This record gives sequence, C-alpha cells and structure tokens, in this order.
Amino acid sequence: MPITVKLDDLLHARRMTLTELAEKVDITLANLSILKTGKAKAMRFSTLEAICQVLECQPGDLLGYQPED
Amino acid sequence: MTETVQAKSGDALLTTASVLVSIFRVMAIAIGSILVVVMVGILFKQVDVMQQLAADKVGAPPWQVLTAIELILGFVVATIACAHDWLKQLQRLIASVSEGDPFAPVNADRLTRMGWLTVAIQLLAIPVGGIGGWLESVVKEATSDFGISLGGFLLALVLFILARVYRRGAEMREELEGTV
Repeated sequence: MPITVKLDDLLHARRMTLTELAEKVDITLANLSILKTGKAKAMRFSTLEAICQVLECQPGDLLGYQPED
Repeated sequence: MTETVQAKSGDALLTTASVLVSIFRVMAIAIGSILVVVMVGILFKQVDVMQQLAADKVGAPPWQVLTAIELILGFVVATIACAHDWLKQLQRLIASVSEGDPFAPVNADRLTRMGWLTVAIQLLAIPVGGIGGWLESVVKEATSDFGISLGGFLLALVLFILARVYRRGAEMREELEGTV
C-alpha cells in the first residue's frame, strides 16, 4: 500500500512503547500493532486524533505517501 | 438488561428454527427413501401392477399409466432432494447466525444456492403437474394438486436479493475488520 504509517519512528523519538500508547489513547494493543505494521486498511479520524494528541504531532507526521513503482 | 432479554429471545428463535429444520430434513429423507423404495418396487412388480391397472379399467394403456407413475415418483424424489439440500443450506445459515458471524461470503453463496434450488423445485412442479393432470383424467381415484406457484418464484427472488445483501455485508465487514 502506498500509504505508510510512521508510528514506529514517532514512538522511538518520544521513547514510548506501543503498550504505553495503547493505554493513553484507549485503543487495543492489537489494533495499534495492526496500524504499526502497516496492515490496517483504514483509520478512523477519532484514532488519528487520539494518537496525534498523545504524541503531540500532526497527521502528516504519522502518515506518509510513497507512490508504488 | 434489555440486551440480555433480546439475546435470549434471539437464541430461542434460532434454536426453534434449527430444530424445525432438522425435523423437516429427517422427514424429507424418510419420505424420499420411501418413494425410492416404491419406485423400485413398482419396477420389480411391473407385471402385477399392469395387470391390476388393466383390471381397474384405467382410461389409457397400463404401461403408459405405469410410466407416468414412475415419472411422477422420480420428479417428486428429485424435488425432495432439492428441498433437503435447501434445508441443509438453511441450517448452516442458522448455525452461522448463532456463531455470531453471518456476514460471510459463504452465506451469500448459500443463499444463491437456495434461490436456484427454489427455482428448480418450481420447474420440477411443471412436469409433475402435467403428468398428474393426465393421470387424473385416466385414473378415477387419482388426484393431483401439483403446480407452479408465484410464491415460489417470489421466494427465489427474495433469496437472490438477500444473497446480494449478504455479499455486500461481507465486504463491509471485511473493510471494518481492517479499520483501526
């Protein structure tokens, strides 16, 4: 998929684990793992809002676009 | 509280439906088996049967009446086989609802199959009705009320449409599963 999720980089920069993020955004660890590994097919605005709020970032910091060859 | 009550009544509905379908399936197998035995029995005793038909002074050559009876039995057995498969699909559909996962592509396939089986049952009623009508005219005691029904075709239409609904539902469910 040309949409990439940069959750791993953001977590690393903020020295935060996925479990901690899951607790703070009230999203299951399983769902966050799906998002982190790029297996998600869609993302709710409420999820995006919660992650951006906790990680103090913009949606563009979390998502990227890489055209397929 | 309300949810629990609804779930319980829902379960009662599914259990009742499943039990009823099981009973109908057993009945279909029993009636089908009896008819097959009768068909084979008539074939083995065809000389006696034809003598009896001749003695009863039927309004057509006995071999024609015998062939008509065998044909009707054959078509009815085929109808019962279709009905049994229809019930089997319905039972699996009910089971998937009980398991809480009805919106699956396999259920859309089941509903499509049930739709075609309904069409087949309706089409099989045409020769049965035709031959039955002929038998009624040549054999005094014979009665026949088989025939095509508008309700059957409407049921097939509903099943085909429901199959589409289920297919779309399965797609939506799959989409939702990948949503975070």
